[in-house]
Amino acid sequence: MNVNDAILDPYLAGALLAAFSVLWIFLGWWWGRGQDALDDFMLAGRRVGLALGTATAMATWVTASTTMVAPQFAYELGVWGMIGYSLGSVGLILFAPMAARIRRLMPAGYTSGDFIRLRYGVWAWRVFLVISLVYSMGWLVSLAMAGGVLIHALSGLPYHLGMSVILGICVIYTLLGGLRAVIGTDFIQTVIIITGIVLLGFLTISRVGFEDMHATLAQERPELLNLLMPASLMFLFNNLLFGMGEIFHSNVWWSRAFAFGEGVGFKAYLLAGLFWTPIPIAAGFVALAAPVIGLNVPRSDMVGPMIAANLLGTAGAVLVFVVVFSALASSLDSLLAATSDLILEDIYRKHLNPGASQQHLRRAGSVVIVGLGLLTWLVSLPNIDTLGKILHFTGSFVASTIWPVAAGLYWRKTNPTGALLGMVAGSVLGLVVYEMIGWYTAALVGAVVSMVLTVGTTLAAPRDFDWQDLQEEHKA
Amino acid sequence: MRIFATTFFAVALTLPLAAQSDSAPVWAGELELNSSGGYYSLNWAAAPGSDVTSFYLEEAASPDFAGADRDERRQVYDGEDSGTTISGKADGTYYYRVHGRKDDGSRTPWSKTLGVTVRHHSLPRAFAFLITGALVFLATAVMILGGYRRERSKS
Repeated sequence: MNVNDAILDPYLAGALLAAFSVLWIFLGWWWGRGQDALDDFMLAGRRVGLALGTATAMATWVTASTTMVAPQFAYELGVWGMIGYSLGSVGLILFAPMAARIRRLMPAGYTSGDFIRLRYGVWAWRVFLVISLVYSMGWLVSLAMAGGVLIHALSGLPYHLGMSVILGICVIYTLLGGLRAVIGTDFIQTVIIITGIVLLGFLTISRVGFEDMHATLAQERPELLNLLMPASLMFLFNNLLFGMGEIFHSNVWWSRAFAFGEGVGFKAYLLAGLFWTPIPIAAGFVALAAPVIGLNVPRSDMVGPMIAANLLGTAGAVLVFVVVFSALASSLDSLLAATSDLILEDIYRKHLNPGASQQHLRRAGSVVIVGLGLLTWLVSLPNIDTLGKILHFTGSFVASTIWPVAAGLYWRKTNPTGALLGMVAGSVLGLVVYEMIGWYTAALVGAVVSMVLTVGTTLAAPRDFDWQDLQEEHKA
Repeated sequence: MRIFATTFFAVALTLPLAAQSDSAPVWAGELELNSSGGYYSLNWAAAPGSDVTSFYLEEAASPDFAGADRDERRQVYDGEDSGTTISGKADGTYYYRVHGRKDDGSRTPWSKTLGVTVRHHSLPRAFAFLITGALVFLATAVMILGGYRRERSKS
């Protein structure tokens, strides 16, 4: 990479990294004590309350994307890039009623894959698993890369070092603590993230000022202020649908719906969505200060940390480091845990070893987490593109699951073949437009195609379904 | 003859070194780029063997930098980094060149000229995507909220 003018001393950056690593691993061990049962490790005993529930939903959704990609999109696409990113909260808000219904329909459920298998059959389930795994890997890789980009942008330390350390730490404490540790650390990370981003936004306004920002942008980068900039208009609902697809299909959110106590899911997701909405706006706004202060941005996904470091000096660099590390850790651990659940339940137990005991699955879960971490590390090493583009590569896949999931939960007559075709065709056509038109169109096309096929086949050939078929007991 | 040979070899041996340390920076990637979003990244590197410590990047509206006067050229970057991201550009073609600077203040020749053509998507296309996205979102929201209301009225 090409930052040769970093602000944070490499030794200080290394010390911060080491200190947070020790703290997070200790918390993982502390919260993970005594979790031998699979329900404890995978679903925190299904007893998570409202405060922790809201915090974990919000902290998990405040990813490196929020703290680094929101500024990236503001820097590339201007005002709509910033506001459009905050539309990602719509997915969380709409998942609130869905979480309550999921808990009611499947009180003993484990994964989103369980739902698709029971609702639509084996082949739709297998397609869904492929989509889930593609998305999980895309998100894991973007998070791991964000760690490397962050450390490099702030301190000039090599990308590979930062990426490897942050990924390694998250694997270790997820391994030790399971979902209970993930949720517990989420609460701390939420407090750090909200405080840090609000402080950064306030300091940026006070140091730079709206008038200077507007004047500079109008002169040097006029399209960033243009509310009719075509790419940003196309980005708006693409990002909203991408967020919906991410949340509706991903086991990260379904595992929480199963883990929350009775009646908690609806309120937790609703509150998390509402509290999350202003965060990407604050984070994105910071990026627009770059041209005003004459800051050079070698790569657009570095703009957030670089601005903070430049405006606020070493203290700002440390603040950004703490906030982004917290955001990264809070999402990496959730994703590792949820993806390992999916692999364990839907691939290992259902396809390879149906007779596996709970203790065996508990041990296998650890192996899966380590394997995922290693694979993520290998794919992240080449650092192929910006974080936003890598994440949105998965857009067509996840958005194609919106209607199959939602219609499957609420419509008794949804056609299973239509749902399967919707996921396949939506993913493929979304990828085509990703290459031919732009990354900011893939999710939208994936969602449209999937909706048309799901609704069309259901109207033409409705198929009855008994909701009781979703009640599946797992062996103790 | 001896003087000629000595002079010849002295020049021949030192010329490559002089040429190496004074070589222009090189661009990473193509010399012609396209952008439909008004943003793009430019990356460059010092020539191999060069002792350049900083770079100066310039932008102009015409490829003939030598013909453009000072007012038509714009400094984009002056520092140690070897890349930059430019955004918010309107339709048009923008030309860039970069030279390196050493600690003693001397500079290398200019790099080759790189051209970027910005052509935004048409507004009809943009609005088509916007309206389609809005309709899909509304349909989804209506389905979910309708289902939620039915559930609540039953319970």
